[in-house]
Amino acid sequence: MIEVKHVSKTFSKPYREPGLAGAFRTLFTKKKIITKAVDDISFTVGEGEIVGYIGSNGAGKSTTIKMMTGILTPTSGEILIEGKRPYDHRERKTILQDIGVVFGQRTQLWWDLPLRDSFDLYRDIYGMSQAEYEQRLDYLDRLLGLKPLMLSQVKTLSLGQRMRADLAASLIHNPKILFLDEPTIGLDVLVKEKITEAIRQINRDGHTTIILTTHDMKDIQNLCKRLIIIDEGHLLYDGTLADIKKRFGDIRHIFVLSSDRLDLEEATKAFGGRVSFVMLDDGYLEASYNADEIGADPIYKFLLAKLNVKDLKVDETTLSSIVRKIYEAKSV
Amino acid sequence: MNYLKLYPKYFKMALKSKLMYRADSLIGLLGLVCSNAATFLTLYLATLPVQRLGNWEFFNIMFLYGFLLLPMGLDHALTDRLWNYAGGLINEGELDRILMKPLNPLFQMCAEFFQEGGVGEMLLGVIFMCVSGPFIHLDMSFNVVFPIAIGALFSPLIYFSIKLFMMSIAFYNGRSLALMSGVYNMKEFGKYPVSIYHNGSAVGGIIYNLLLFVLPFGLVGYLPLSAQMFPGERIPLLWFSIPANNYLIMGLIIGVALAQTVIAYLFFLHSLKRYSSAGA
Amino acid sequence: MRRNPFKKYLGFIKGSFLSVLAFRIEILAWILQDVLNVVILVFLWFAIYQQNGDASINSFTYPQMISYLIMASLTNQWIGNSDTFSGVSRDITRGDIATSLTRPLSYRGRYYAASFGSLLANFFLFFVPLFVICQFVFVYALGLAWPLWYNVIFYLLAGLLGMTIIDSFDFIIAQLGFKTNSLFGIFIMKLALFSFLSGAAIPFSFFPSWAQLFLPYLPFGGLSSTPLNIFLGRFSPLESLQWLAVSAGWAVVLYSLSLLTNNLMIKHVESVGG
Repeated sequence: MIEVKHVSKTFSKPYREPGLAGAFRTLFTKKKIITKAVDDISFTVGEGEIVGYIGSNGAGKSTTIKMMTGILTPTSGEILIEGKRPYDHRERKTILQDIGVVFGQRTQLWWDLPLRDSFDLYRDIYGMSQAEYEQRLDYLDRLLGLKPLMLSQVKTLSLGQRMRADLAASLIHNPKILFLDEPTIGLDVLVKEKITEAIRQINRDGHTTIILTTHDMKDIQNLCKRLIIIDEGHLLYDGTLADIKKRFGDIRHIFVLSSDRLDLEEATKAFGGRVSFVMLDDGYLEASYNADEIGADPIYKFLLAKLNVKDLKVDETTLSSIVRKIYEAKSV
Repeated sequence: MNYLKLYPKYFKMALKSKLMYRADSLIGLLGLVCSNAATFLTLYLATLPVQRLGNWEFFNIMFLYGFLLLPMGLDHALTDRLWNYAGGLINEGELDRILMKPLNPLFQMCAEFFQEGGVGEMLLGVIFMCVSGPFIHLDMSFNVVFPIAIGALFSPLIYFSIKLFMMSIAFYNGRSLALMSGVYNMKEFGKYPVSIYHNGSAVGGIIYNLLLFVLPFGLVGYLPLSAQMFPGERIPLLWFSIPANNYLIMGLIIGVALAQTVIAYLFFLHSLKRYSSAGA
Repeated sequence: MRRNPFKKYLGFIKGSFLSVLAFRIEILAWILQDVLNVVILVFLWFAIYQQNGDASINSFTYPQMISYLIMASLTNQWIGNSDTFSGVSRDITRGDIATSLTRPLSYRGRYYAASFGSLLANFFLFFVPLFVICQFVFVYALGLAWPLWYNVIFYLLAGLLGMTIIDSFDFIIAQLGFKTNSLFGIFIMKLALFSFLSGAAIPFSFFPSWAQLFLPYLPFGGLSSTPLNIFLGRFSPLESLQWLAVSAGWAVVLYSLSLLTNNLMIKHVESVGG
């Protein structure tokens, strides 16, 4: 459905020096900064998949999304959505009918007007019949609870309400592919859950392909079966969540709060390096280990023997630590 | 994509947005009225001692000014958003939102916004024309009014095409506001009877022809009204002169307006392509 | 070691200076626009004077008129290019006022310092070279006399006072941003009104006699009419000083008013919150 083939993107910007002397120098030079935002990325997304696209800021996430939605043209390589190139201005017209986009930080709605007006306009832009439109609105209302918001001016909506509205707006025309760029940013836990549940439902009901970029690891764990990790323009990992755990091991953490201090070096030596010990800022001691390599039991015994334990917490695999590891390793 | 059906819908939304803030819209309207009024008052005070400029008496000049405000105001009302794009909106990702929809981007850029000041300008224009009309000799026969009216319908395209062209430059550097403003401001030249430039000096000659062909602000008001008010005279054009025939002038206006619009639009498309390859 | 209390404002002067430098191309484009406007006026007035048989009109000969209008444009270049209006209105619409107030600086003061930096940059980078060129044009092409040294000094003083006046006006008017969203409309209105009433668009002597009774005493005159007339030697030294005093008076009044609105605004923000 979506094919990304060896895509690269470079930008060149004029170079401006800071300071007074620099300002004068820029008058005479024409230096340019060349940045390679995306470097030879390839992957394919099939129909109905939910793919999580992770990367730190500036890693090249938005650039790839922009290329997939046709806003930017790749410097080299090719992107095909249902066999057509989205950045080719002839081929994109049909593609645009089938995609929906939500920008987490920006709205697609008319700021000063009641929500209903924006939806009505979308109906007209996508050429929907009134019957289709009403049906769709009902469905989206059941999914996201829109009815009470319809008459409010968009600018009076809270962030959570606006996010729901933006999501609905991107789905009015029943697109086959949905691009979500940081859709849960800044939202509180309850709203986040509602939105992620809605996204899951949409994927189930309409077999909609969903590409989700986010920093929020929880979102990924809840929604995506497949992950693509990108860093500094390179594709670091492309596979399922289960695979990644297998690859990097089932990392688990034990958090211990104690007034006693542990000799970290001694402890690490005691386990032959299979357990790593780190003192956290909040006063807890974090013991991380790979459950495939060692059981929890000896670690508990060790800790309880050495320390007067006030509190003990256990956590399963944190995706973020795996991702961190991947960044550190820089290649998979 | 039925743009004819879609445009009224967009227009309604843009208008509605403005009406949500009635007081602010009124201020915007007044602002532009004041601006034009001040320019005109200056002209009035300047010509007060002499009462006329060549063939053009004061009320002729006032009528010209008023007549000009109609197409200028109309274009101003409908395509004002282009200024925001030139001023840096492109960088802020607004363009992405537009490119996402299966609609012509230029259509969206203009249709989403309504500038109430343009309406103010049009009203002022009507007032000027009504005030000065009775004092000048106006030929109201069909063969005069009809070509002038048709020409006036196409004239907003002249302003629009120049704005569009200059705005498209912003796709290259991010901001073309200053340049755009500079070129567009040449329309101020057109507010005075263009004959004042044709005074025998070389520079004047250049400006005169510039205003009739390259940045044809002179076409919008001066030419048709010249023919209207001073029929029978020949109007100098480049190295020859043309008879003051109303239909001929109408043809000239339509031709130039359409040609410029096509050129500007092609440049716009080209620049848009460049945006997508160079990125924000 | 005692610190100079004004040192912190130096940063704003410098910053503003550098901004002008960074936007030099844009500024050149604006200057080009001003040049074009002057060209229009040259033709317009040529036609007018021709109509009048080249005689003097309202105490201005054609060369004097042209030099007046050119100097009006040049003067506006260094006096009238402050960022205060757009800066303050931006702060208001974005709700940044509150954060600005947490700094140990006078909000009014820092904008004035920035305007001063702008003035300096525009003065040295653009006004001086252009002025020198124009001066040669005035003397050799238009046949006017060289300006008298004390008139030049008075002119500069008048300019500084004019900048204070317009900066204060900008500051005060920008506060309307709390009440309305249409700052663009207000901006256009302000521009048109000031240009007209300051004598920049056309000298006061062209206004009807009843208007000439009070126009020069309005604060706007200090923006263009006073400095221009001083420079062109149309006032005797005594008259120059008198008009400078009027300007100075207005500068003080308006700056104080701007401080007043500044304090009012701070109180408003503290109770409502940016």
